[in-house]
Amino acid sequence: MRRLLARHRTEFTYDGEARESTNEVRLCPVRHARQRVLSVSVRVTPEAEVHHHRDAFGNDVGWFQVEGPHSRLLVEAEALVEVSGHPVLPAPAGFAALEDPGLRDRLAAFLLPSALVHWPEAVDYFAQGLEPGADEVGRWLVDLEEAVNRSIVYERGHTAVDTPVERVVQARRGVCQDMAHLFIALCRRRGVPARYVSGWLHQAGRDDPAESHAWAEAWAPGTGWVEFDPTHPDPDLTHYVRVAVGRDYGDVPPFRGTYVGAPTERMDVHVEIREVDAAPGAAGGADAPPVPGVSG
Amino acid sequence: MLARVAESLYWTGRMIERADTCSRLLEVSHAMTRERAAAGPREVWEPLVEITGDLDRFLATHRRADERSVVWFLSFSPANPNSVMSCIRRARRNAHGVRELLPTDMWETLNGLHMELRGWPPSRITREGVYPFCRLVRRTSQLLQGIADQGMRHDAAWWFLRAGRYLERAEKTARLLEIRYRLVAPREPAVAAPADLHAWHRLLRSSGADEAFLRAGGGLVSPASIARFLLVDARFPRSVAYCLDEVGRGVEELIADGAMRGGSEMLGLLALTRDELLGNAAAARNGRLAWLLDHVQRRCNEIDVALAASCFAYPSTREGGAQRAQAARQAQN
Repeated sequence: MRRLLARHRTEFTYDGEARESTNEVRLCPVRHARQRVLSVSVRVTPEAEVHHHRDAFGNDVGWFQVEGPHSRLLVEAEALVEVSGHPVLPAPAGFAALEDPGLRDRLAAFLLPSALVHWPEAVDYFAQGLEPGADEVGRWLVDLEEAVNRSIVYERGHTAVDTPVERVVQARRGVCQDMAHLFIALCRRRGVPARYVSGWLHQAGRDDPAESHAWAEAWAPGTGWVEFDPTHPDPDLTHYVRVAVGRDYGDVPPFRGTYVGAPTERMDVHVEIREVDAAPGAAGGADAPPVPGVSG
Repeated sequence: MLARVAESLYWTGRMIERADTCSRLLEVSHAMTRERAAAGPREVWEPLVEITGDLDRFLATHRRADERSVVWFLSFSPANPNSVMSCIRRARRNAHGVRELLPTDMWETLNGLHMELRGWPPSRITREGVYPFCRLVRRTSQLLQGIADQGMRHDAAWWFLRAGRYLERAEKTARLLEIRYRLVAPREPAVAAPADLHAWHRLLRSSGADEAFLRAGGGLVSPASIARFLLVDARFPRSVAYCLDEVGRGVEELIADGAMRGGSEMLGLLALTRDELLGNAAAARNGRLAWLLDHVQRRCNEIDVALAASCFAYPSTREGGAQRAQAARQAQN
């Protein structure tokens, strides 16, 4: 178990005046079998009240409006989360277990194609080249994670938020989001329910600013949802803070909204995650986590 | 209130009213062709398209105006932004954005109408005639007005809804009169031929004004008296003057409510239009009616523009911008 303090800061600078800004943020982790949320807060500048609700996938959604003119919009989320690894390993099971109509009906949203995850010919062709041969679902998934990682070169700037998977397999390059989408597409194509997880990755021992991360979850019979990260195969999940799940990126963008006014000059996203002492006070209190929501 | 919200309410009101007008026109025109065998397409169907303002668009996709093509064009055609179905779709889309401000009943009724019409097979209107369709639309529109009037607080939201309805009605009544007038311009307005009189009477019916006109003791059914009634009757809620008064009341309320910036200019415009209307009410008798009707429509447009400028104007639309999506960024790690 690991206690992580995450700060997520999004800043929009407009090339002039913006107003009537209505936004939705998915920046608040929620309780999960392997994560406990100790505290969470979202702060908006110019000041705005943030209203929270849960979406269809159980994610926390913060909603706010900034009516008056502003040339800069700053949203800071801070969360203190206790994260543990996988509660259980996938139990061995064959693909036949996924044929259950009740299961297929219940998880239909994660079996059908979605806006960014589908499998046209290009993906089919790609899949045939790397299809792992295992006939046991858990093994197959682990192999797939590895195979996607091997065949896609991690390269920034090549894809955008809405790049569909067929473009990723054609270029054979992309970032975590593209690899997650591809992994999900290949799972669904094989009849394995799979969904997109957006969150934050704690990279121990690295000083450069972190970024948001994306990985995937697949449904293994007898086990349930199991997390995979095709960008960093065989992940140590105690470094992964789950923020939201959905069919694909389109369901869970950290920030979504509209406004009226000048074009956006720049958007800066800054994520900072650090490990804090799991037992505040034990080490003399020097490293005790600040109280989020009160501190800046 | 957000400009976007105000604008959605205004267009919800306008679009419901437009669907209503369009369905009345269809119904009356259809009746006309059944009553008078001699009524050819030039007399019935072409003006009908013209009243709704889309003759060019119509001719771009249809070879000629006959019962079949016009009925389709005005009822369901998705190519016509002013067909009943298009209006209802737009009313629904606007209402959807401001659902929290409308009575649940109102939203459900509008949504129900949209769903029901969407389920209509295209052949049904040819098979059953236009009546069931027109009746459904007209009744629902009346129901929606009733729910809005009785189920909402009469606050800024309600006034925006209402301003949309009445401005649309003022403009369409004037348009209706203008086309009719151009078509059967009576040489001697006081004494029209019986056939022309019939056309004028139909005009009353398509404005839903025939019974009110008779009860008001309009007396002699002449083009002049009908035009006068539809233009300036102070107590009939479909006359142009009455509609403009309602818009004016709305503007006053909205100014008082702080929902409108610089509304005094618009009040001036409304008062001016009203004066022009009443001052020229005799136009029906001295042959200046066509000018007046055209002028009133132009004024309605100006009022619409003024309303947009003072209530819906996003500052950026003045600077040439529009609504934008916030930038999005890929997850990267």
